[in-house]
This record gives sequence, structure tokens and C-alpha cells, in this order.
Amino acid sequence: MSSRGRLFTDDALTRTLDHWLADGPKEMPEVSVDAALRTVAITGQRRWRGRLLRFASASPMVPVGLTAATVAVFVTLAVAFGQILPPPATLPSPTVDSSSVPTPAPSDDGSGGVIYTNEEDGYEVTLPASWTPAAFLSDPPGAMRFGASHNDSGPSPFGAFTVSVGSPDGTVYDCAPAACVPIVATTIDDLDAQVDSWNRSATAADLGEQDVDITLDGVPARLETVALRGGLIEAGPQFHHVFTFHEGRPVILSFDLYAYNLGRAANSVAWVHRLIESFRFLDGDTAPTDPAEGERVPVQGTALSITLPTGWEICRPLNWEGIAYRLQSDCEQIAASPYWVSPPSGPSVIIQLGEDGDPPTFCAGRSGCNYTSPSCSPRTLPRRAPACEEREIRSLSGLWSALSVSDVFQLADTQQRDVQIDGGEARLVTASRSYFEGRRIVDRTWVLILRDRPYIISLSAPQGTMPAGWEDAVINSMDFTD
Amino acid sequence: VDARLVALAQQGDEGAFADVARAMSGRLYAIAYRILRDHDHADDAAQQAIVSIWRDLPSLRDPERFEGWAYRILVNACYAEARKARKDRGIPPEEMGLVTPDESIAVSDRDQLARGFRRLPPEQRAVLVLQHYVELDLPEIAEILGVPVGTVKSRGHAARQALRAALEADARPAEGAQPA
Repeated sequence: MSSRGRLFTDDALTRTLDHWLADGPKEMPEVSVDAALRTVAITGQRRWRGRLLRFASASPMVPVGLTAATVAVFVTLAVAFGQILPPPATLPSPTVDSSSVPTPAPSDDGSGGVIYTNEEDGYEVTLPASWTPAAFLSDPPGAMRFGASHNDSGPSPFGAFTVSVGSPDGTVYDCAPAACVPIVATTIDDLDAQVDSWNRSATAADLGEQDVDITLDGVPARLETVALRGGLIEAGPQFHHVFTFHEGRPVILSFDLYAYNLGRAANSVAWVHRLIESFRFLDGDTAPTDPAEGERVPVQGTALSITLPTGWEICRPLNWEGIAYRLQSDCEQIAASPYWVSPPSGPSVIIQLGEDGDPPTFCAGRSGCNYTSPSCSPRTLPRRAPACEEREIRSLSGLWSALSVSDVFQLADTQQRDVQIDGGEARLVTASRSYFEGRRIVDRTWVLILRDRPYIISLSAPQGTMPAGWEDAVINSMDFTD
Repeated sequence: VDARLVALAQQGDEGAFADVARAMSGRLYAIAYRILRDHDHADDAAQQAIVSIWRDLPSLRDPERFEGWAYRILVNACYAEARKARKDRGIPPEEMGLVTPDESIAVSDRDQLARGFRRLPPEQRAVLVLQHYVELDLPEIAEILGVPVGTVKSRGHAARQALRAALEADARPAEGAQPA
């Protein structure tokens, strides 16, 4: 006979849950603890590297100067945050109903703003003066929460405003409205869809969403406003997100107006726009490199040598694809997954080699899990090199045909032209659209060469990471020894 | 966990951290398993949490609050693991780990509870586990999860409602089933 009936009372359900949850493993396998500690041994601790620059304390040694500076700061902030200046043309007016949120106020304590600089993740933003980073509870890498202190324990544990800067592989943490969760995205659409999906599952409420295209420090971005319907809070726009990619990294700004209210500060949707307006990306550590001052590299096992920008390194030879010259972070990715090559997250030169012979051959159309397949994940890694079609290559047109099979996902809106490289014929193929637009790799160039063996050389870089013409410099440096 | 060991680990003392990790590992794994209901995923989440705790330990202001802080990292790791599992399997998280019920046989309350629990989203599971297994009160859970107390209440309520509804739904076919 079923005893289901006793589950229908709260007390019975509680007792059953207590007993059921008490049953189960209580010890972590020793081997797993050891594995975690081995990882710890090679993992550095994350030290606080952000800094706050408070305007009012800029000159504490000079009271008169301090007063003057404070007045100047008020004037500056009044200009910056007040109603003197309209929003920049690149930032559209709020698409939400401002009457449904608290009255806009620049700063409720009148002390102005605070510039927060995060050198580690590469951005700067001006916060309401009463806000501080919420550092006492850990956030995932790249994510930083900001809010107002309202007790002795420090800032609110849930952020009124969160900045999350992802990694070049597309992983970024979505930290609003609830806990931080990792998502992987390569386009703004992808970011938007995944954050929406997660929020739907987390809030148990209907979401009313509106999207508008904006720029974030000059970078194309999307502003999304979200209102909860049927949840605990049913009062106009609740959450705002800004999605963008910067130097190949996904970036999410999250705003939670409910937390604003709890934080007693800047309780207005106007601050959402002021925070967006003040957001600046800092220059990256890796300045664009001049290929003319690069390093001469012989391509292993071939007659070809090229000059690469300084600071690049050769990745381990790819088991089935060829040889890659990339920046270090990408090499680490390749080393971790020999048969799965993630999309290049930085500037790269990848050389695929054919076999010499009479006639020479090229293995075309590898259809395994490689970076041309959008659905690949580490759990679907092939254990062996994917099969390919061995083709005899007798002309550049034949090599183009092989490229078409291999890189069909990337060859959009292509143009071809024949050129001379070190006295021999070659063909340049350029694609003005890229599968990797989410990583801001829009233009890609392939060089097809048939000399001692077939070569297909791919050059690409996220926008803004290399000086204009770097591809030409690398191509012009190609030299063959007979 | 000894706060002095935590303080030493904050300064980068790996030996002290190893002691802290071993002292906490059973608790972390037990919580992860109860949220994820899968040994492999619980193992991954607990390992990830240990590494994250080490990495972010300097950001902890008060070593006396280490336990709650560590639980929060663990719960985040569980969310990540649940999400990863969903992505790998291509199924929604509420169905992660769902065992297809055999409607032809009677099932016990325990089995019904297990199936119902597996259908809950991870954040609702976390509330139940922290409340019923770790025996934390609502403000403590709110701080660990980084959400307002009201949200904890609503998640707990929704979880219990969903659990009850799932139990009823599971029970219905059994009621209509013909005896073998």
C-alpha cells in the first residue's frame, strides 16, 4: 500500500526531506581531494588588484586645495552626470518607461562619483559615491559586483551592478539576477539568448524584454531591459544587461534595480545609463606588434620561412592540421586538446601542409571536431585524427578546391587574386565575413602556394589587436629556399 | 575549520590550505552530491570549488566567515556543473539525471522524492539542501546564494510546491495501473 498520503502535509514533507537528504555519501574520494590539491599547487591566488580613486581624497595634504578640488569635482560631476549634457549620440535614450522606476537622482549623498579601475580585467567605470566593489564574497574570474554598503559586513552580497569580462575562449559569468553562472558565447546574439535562458530558469517568472543597439566605449553592444511579470516583483524594468565583445572577449554588464533600492544609493534607471556612459576599456597589455620588427622563423620540414611579429610562439605541431603560430594563450589551448582546435582567440598564422610527391597531395575536408564545427565541445573530442580525402594537387585551382572543402564554414563573401611570392605564383583568398564574427575576427586571409609541396596558410586577428597591413607584412616576408 | 589555518592559507600557505581542504572536502562533496544527485558531477564540482576557494581566498575579509563563503563557491560550482551537464546532454537541467520511471511497478516514497527532486532546477535544489541538510537559516542561505531572503523563501516554496506536484504526477499512473 502506498504511503504517499503523508507527503501532502508540510511537516511530513519536511521530515521526509530531512531523512532522505541525510542519506548519501559524506566523504569525498581521497583521489579526488588529491587531484584538487595538485591543481591548487599549480594555481596562483588571485590578489586584489583593483583600485579606487576617490575624487574628494585626491589631495588630503592641502585643505584649501582640497576644498577647491572638491568644488571643481562637483562642477565636473554636475557637467558629467547632471542634465547639462545630453546623452551621447551613440547611446540611445532609455527604451523603458521611466515612470515605473524611482525618480532619477545622480547621487543621493552629494559626494559625487568614484572612478573604479580594474587593471586586471581592463576597464574603468564611474560608480555612485556610496558604492564599493563587493569583494568579501568571492566572485568568479572576471566578474566584479558593485553595490552600496548597508551594514558592517560590507557591500550587498548581491550586486546592484556587475561587470563580467570573459576569456578569449568565450566563457563569461552571468552574475544577475541571482548567482553567477558560466556561459559560453561567441556572438552577441548567443550571449543574449543564453543569459535570457538562464534568467528564465532562475527567476521562475515571465520576462518582458526589450533590446536596443548601443555602443560601449565605441564598441558595438546591445542593451537589454528586462521586466519581471508574475514574479515577486512586478514593477517595470528590473534588470538591464549590456552585451558586447572586446578584443575577442565577451563582456556583460548587469544591473539589478531591486538591489539598487536596497542599497539606498543611486536608485534610478538614469544611473544605468550613466554607468554605461562612463564605462571605458583600458588598453590591453599586448600592444600591436610591428611585423617588420619580427622574428624570422623557418617552417619545420619545409622550404618556407616567414617573419612573425615579436612575441609570437610556435604551438606544438597540430596532429592533423599543420603548424600554428599564435600568441601563447592559444598555444596552451591547443596543447590541452590536440585533436580539438578552438577558434583562434587572438592573432594567428596557421599553416596546413600537403605532402610532396609526384604529384603532390593535400588531405582535404577533414570533417572531425575542429574549429569549423560550431557544435564541438571537449566532451565530443575525437580520439583520433579525423579522416580526410587525399587529393592530388596539380594547380592552385586544385588547392582552392581543397580549401573549399576544408574551410567551407568560413568561406563567406570571398575574393581571390593571384600574386607573386618569392618569385612563384600564389593565390590570395580573402573572406569579408567570418564564422568568428563574435570574436571580432571578421576578415580572414588564406594564401595558397604550390612549391615544394602544397601550402594553405591562414592569417587572422580580432579587430584592433594588430596594426593595419600586418597580414601583408607576413605574406611579403615569405621566402623559399630551393 | 580552524580560522587560523584559513588565515595562513590566505597568505599563500599551501600546507595550511591542504589541511583546510581535507577538513572541508567531505562536507563539500556531500552538499554537491545532494544538489547534483550524481557522483561524477559532484566530484567535479567539489574539486572545482576547492581550487576556486584557494584562488580567491585572499578576497575573504573575515576568516571566521570561511564556511559560508566556501559554501557559496561550492553552490556556484554546482550551478556551473549542472549547466555543463545540461549542455553536454542537450536536456534541460530539471531533467538532468531523471530516471525513466517504470510505471508498471509501485514505487516508494523515497523513489518518488528522488525523481521529483531531480526535476527541480539547481537553484531550488540548493535551497532545499542548505535548509534541510546543512540546516542553515534563511538569512544564512540568502548570503551564501547571494540573493535576498525573499528570493530564498520563494525558491524554497516553489521547490516544495514543485516537489509535491511532481510526487502527485508520479503517483497518478501508478494509481491507474493494473495489477500484474
